[in-house]
Amino acid sequence: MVTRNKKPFFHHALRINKNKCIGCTHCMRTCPTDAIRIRNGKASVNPDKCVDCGMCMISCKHDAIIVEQDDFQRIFDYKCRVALVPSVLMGQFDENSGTKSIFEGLKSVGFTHVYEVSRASSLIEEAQDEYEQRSDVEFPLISSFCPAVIRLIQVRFPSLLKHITLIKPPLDIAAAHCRHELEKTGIDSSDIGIFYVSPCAAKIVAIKHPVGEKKSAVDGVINMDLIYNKIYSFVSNDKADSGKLCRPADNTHVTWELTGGECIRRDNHAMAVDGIHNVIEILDKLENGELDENITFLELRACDESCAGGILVPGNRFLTVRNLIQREVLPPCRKTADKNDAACLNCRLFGKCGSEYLPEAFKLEKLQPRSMLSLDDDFEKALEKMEHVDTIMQVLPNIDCGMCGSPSCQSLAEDIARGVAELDQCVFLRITATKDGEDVKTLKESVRNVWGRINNKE
Amino acid sequence: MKFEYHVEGGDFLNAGNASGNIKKVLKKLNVDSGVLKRVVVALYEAEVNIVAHAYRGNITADISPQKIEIVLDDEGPGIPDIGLAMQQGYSTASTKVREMGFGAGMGLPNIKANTDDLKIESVVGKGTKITLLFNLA
Repeated sequence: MVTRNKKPFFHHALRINKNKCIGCTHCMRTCPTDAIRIRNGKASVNPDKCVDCGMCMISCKHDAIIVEQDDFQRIFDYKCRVALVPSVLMGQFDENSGTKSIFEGLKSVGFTHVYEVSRASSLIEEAQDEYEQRSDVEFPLISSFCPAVIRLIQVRFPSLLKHITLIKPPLDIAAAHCRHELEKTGIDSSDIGIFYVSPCAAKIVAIKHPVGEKKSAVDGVINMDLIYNKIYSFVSNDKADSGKLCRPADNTHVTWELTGGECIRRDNHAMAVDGIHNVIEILDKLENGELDENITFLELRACDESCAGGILVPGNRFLTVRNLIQREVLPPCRKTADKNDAACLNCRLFGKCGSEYLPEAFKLEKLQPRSMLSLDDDFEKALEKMEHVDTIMQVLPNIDCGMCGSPSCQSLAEDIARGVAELDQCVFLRITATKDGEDVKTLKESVRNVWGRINNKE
Repeated sequence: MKFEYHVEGGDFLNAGNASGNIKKVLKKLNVDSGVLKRVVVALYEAEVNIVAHAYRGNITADISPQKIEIVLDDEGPGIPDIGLAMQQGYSTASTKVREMGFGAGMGLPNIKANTDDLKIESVVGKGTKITLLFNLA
């Protein structure tokens, strides 16, 4: 398989647990960037191609794909410990659970403050409006919200990079605002630890290895499924006078993270697409010049039902959407009601997320392509390899069975042309070759390299 | 290296197959993304022209390290006045074709703007052959 001498350039949050992986090919077939191969009986991910969308994790039937996260105890390295939460966390609980319960739940496990990412939504809207007025932008603009989509464009659609709005995503702006507000109360910056409760793998990578910015404003990541388990019993046992869920403040959109969340305030020239394969279809059309010129804004989200369908979100995505839509119409927090009411922690502690957070510091740097589709960096060599692929394709059965350890006949042919696979990995060819009296021993050797075994006795 | 595609007139469902395929090929060849975009946009327009106006046609793309040359050769009504067809907004597309979102005119000027060279040969009543050239070197 691809043994690389150089260290992988791209960091990923998804890992394969080799003890659990049985090389069943499900992840390999579903991967939208063709990044997975089966070698030695296990799935293996090409780090250059992976965009951390998490499709492999969804398709895995053996719990063999895991998502890295920071040790929860790390929050205690800080005196002031902020849980930066996306609205979909609140969407795990229905309207009968109070905001207070959820916040108190987070405090009971060790956080000192809670801040909702959606509080930055109005600010991003302002930034987007301003951005659209710039003369150097290319329409349709593509929202920078979803990190898996940004990475997908870098890998598969480099020519479309210039459509991405160079504005940091809400998560970063929310984190910076939160830190700023806490510093205003006299807390030393080094005492503040901001931990994002992530609904997906892509956001973890966006924090650990940001694209278009030097360092993320977030100090650590805790996976949402873990937090859910930690606070679930607290929230479900704390129904007494906690009050209902409320919106964090005026001018915030708790449905911002859902499909259509960014389009809702826009005119009909905006379009929302969710699900990574659907996103690929639309990006293909855009690249071909097939999209209606009247479409000026594309909200593209890798997960089905956007963040509600994130791979680390514990609840059903449609119920999550429903819960958030219900919450969106609730009245915002009444700041003046009762200063001791912790239910309003969110808005009482933090001032309005205002446009002083809009300066240059919130612009993303130019995004670089990381195109990994080419057969060779050198055009002439790539052309030669493509001719080789063409020849190989004439003998392959084109049934995409995946038994060779590559997701399709085409990708096996390309792997062979790249020199990282052998023709006799094709099971179909092997059977016909054996019939014709080919050297079975060589074939066995090759199969063993893919599967690690030929039968259970070995 | 040569790639060939067949296009049927009136088959709007499959309009864009050839340009989509060529796009995949060019990405694998690591062609500069700016050139790729020009090729795909020009070829898509030209491909749709065959679908919208002609009876059938063949597309041949010849890719070498120096250039990409794409010939679209169709059997169709031909273009009576190429000069007129090259004008922005001029269109002979039928109402049916326009209703489908195609045929807004500007096809040929847009193709020309995206190519390094565009050749059009047409015989009325027989067909049209257009050659798109993109320099790589």
